[in-house]
Amino acid sequence: MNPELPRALSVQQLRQECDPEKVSLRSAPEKAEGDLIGQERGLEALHLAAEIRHSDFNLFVLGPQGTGRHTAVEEILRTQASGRDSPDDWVYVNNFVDPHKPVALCLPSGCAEKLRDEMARVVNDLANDIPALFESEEYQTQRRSIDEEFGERQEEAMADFTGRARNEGVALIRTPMGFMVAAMHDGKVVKTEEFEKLPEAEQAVIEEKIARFQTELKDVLANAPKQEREHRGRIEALNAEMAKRAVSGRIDEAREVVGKKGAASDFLSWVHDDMVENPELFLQAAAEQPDGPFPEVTGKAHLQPLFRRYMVNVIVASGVDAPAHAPVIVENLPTFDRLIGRIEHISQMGSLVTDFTLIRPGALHRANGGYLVLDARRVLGEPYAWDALKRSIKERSITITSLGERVSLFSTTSLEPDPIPLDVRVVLVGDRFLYSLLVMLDPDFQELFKIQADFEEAVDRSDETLGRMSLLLRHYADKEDLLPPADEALARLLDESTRIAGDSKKLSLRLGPVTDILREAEHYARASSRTEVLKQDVERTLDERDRRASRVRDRVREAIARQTLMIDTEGCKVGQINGLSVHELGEFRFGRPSRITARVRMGAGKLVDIEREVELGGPLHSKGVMILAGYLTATYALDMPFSLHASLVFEQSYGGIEGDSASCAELIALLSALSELEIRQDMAITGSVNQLGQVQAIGGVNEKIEGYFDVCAERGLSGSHRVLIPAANVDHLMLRDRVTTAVEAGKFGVIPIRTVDEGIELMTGVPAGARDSGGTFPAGSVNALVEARLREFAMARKTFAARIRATDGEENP
Amino acid sequence: MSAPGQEERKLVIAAESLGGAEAALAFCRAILDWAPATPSGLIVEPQGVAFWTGRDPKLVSTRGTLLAVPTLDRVRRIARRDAKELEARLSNLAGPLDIEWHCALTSGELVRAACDALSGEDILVLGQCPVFRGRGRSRVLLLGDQKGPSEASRSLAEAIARESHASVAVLLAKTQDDEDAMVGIVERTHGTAVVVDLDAGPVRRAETLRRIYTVARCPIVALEAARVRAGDAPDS
Repeated sequence: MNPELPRALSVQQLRQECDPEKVSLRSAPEKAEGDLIGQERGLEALHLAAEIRHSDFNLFVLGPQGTGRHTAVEEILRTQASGRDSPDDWVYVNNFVDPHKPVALCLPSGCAEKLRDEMARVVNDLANDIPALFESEEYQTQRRSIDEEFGERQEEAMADFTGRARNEGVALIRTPMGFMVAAMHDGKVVKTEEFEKLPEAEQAVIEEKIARFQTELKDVLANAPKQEREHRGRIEALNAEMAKRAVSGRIDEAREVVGKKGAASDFLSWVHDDMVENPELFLQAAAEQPDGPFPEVTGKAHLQPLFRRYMVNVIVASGVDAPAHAPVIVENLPTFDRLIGRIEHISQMGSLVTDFTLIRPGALHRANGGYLVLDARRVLGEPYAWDALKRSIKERSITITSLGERVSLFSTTSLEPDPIPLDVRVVLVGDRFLYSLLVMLDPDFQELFKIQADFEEAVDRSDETLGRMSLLLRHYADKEDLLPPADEALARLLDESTRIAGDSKKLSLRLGPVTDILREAEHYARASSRTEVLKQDVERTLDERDRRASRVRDRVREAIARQTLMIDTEGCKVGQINGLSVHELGEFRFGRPSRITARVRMGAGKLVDIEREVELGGPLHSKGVMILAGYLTATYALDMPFSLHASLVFEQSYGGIEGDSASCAELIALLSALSELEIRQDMAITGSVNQLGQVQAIGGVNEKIEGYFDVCAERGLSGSHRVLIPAANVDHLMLRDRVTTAVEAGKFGVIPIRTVDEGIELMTGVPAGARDSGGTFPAGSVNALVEARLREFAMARKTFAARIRATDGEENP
Repeated sequence: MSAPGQEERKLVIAAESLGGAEAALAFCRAILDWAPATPSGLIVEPQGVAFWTGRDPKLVSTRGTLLAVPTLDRVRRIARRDAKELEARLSNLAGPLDIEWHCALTSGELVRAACDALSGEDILVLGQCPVFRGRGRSRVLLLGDQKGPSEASRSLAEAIARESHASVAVLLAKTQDDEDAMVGIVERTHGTAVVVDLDAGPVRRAETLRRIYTVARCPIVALEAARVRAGDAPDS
């Protein structure tokens, strides 16, 4: 055996163990900002987005779940927001000219609710004052005077006309169709036959009188509508004058409350004019006032539908309870409506109606002047929400539209409220895949979201980071009211964090899985009446979690134990090797050995990947197999045609295979088949290989080693069992105790390899052999045997071809 | 169905057209509440008297437009149709009160035909459309002689005023024979209805009632109008 061959790794190389002393409170560092460790890049981006005042510098926070993105974003934004002034209040009020276009009023912070409450009081007061004024003796007298004046004026005109007609011997006869003007003679109405008998001169006089009085009567009666209009005008003027007395005083009082200048004062002027023009609303309300058993209701006239026109719909307000700084709004359900607001409808007599009081604000309204935090995936998952968000940011205004109308779901009365100017910093939180998709597919995205805060998944494992992480976990336990974790328990948790990171030099920044373990461990500690969480509780948690998730793994192991899945863990075989694969079920991953076999014969240089032929192999697996062909053709019998026909298969694999982590195993199986050297079955190997024969790092190394170890352990560890792994994966080792214990006892080993030659040598026990200065491999070496076999195939192929040509020549001379 | 003991009293609503009858019906609910009675409609179609009203005969509508004079046939057709429609209106009025009602069509002069239909304590309402639409708070005109109106007519006028959101204006005659002056006052006073008690005066004769009806240009509610028929044959 080559003395330079790599040796099995020591226990220390197989697993990192945190010293409990390093995580004790005595050596804890000062608390870092936002409890975030190793996220300096993301935090800087966050600070920039929070502080910069220019528009469009919206932020996309990307990174894996559980890295504290949401918490960090909220903390930093709230800190920044606390230093900024409260934004203006916004209200919607009635547009008295065009009611379907409600007016948006911008009011100084804190004024909206004042105006709303004051308007309710104004209406309540005037609902009493105006009817009282109209019932007053003063009004009634003036009203009666006008009524009588006009009533008498019409009657007088008619009576005068009648009198004049009578004096001139003309009768006015009323019929159901109208008035008949007829001549009188000797006190009696003249009939037609009597008229004909009268002298012509008298007839002419009568005719003239009839015609004249008909015209005069026409004028008297036609004047009636004009008189009525004039009457109406006088009454309206009187009403307005009376209403003005009550309204002006009360509106002036309201101005004292909400300010004498600005939008609120303008609104009060509009209200004043409308109330003066429409005092009958107050009279109607008074007439409809119920005489019920709850007289206090009568004091709340503003609740009546008649007075909705004077109400104030507060969209955004800085009230007494609201913080006096810029808002930070986190919208967890960013639907179209909840984002930009909506217009509600109420059913009235079977139809849907709405008005400005039914406009409801969205998250953009509430966040206006501050920050809005949204989950990117949820926004994109809600119909029309993404478009609405982009449009609002781009136009820097919020336009409320009805989604129902937009998609023509129904047709009903709707509103066109004034758009509200928007000044908000939007923070989207999502994952990297989503960010990539948006960059690629949405041309607006990078224009509108100019800053990205990329959160790391892991941080270097050092004494400092261990200390800070332990402090973070202590704070978490304290905040969640958990039993405090002991130093040993914390050390164990941090080791598990390294395992989650999949790298012995790192600590995972995904706190979610670690805190899940801590909480479950705390449950066991509490159940055992302990006052703190111990290491044994953490270990029990890990065992329980493993057991809960391991049904499939156990069935696979059972199948291997019963030889349903054929895996050899002892002896030697030609062209057969133990590869290692990883299965993933959510968060749970486990490894298992798989038998890979190779068969060779003379052929035309074709390497058959059976997995690919039956479409069970993914593209990466197929790529790995093709690399083998490249390695073979570039390494052996360079002066002869490549005349191999080989097939490779993952035995008893009925699902898909993806990845190239078995390519090294496949190559060694192939070399074994070619050299006819036996491969040790007490060894398993994982790693990908390139065309130069170098072994490259793979994923899931811990699970793969443990998967083979468990099979071997079940059958009994002989001390010869080994797993060959890429040397590049040594840094990723964080094996479970059961493996390291066996290694420490000399019953199991993990050997890092850098080349295929090291692997074949370790697995066959025969030197791989390197070409000498003459270009030949040492006799008896694996490579020499492989090359000889390939030459043999080439020669056989040449002989075969010559024989075929000869046979063809005989048949076709 | 009438209440026991009250079968004798009728509320006679007499008019020349449905429009006039409707103006009278507006007060009937108040009158029936004031004194239970059997509503009795009477449409009086005009007699075929051809008065000379010009070479090209015209009518002047209440809105001041000139109209061609309809033929007598047409007038009668309209009267018959109005009588049928009045039946429906009376049915609607009497239905909720669960009382009987009648309706008839006759011809002749309105006041005479109406008085002919009265007996005992029947109440008469002579309907006609107001020529001028009242604006604001209107008045019910209550006529009385120098002693004042009768208690019955006063309470009836008040009931009608309540129903029509009006006030009561009492017009008193200075002397017993002051009919002309009374007619002149009524002619120049705007009212939604005129209430008279023919037993108490100042209107006691059919002719006076007719003159009041002509100048009032609104419905007339008359108590004790049957006495005109019994004691004072109306003149033509």
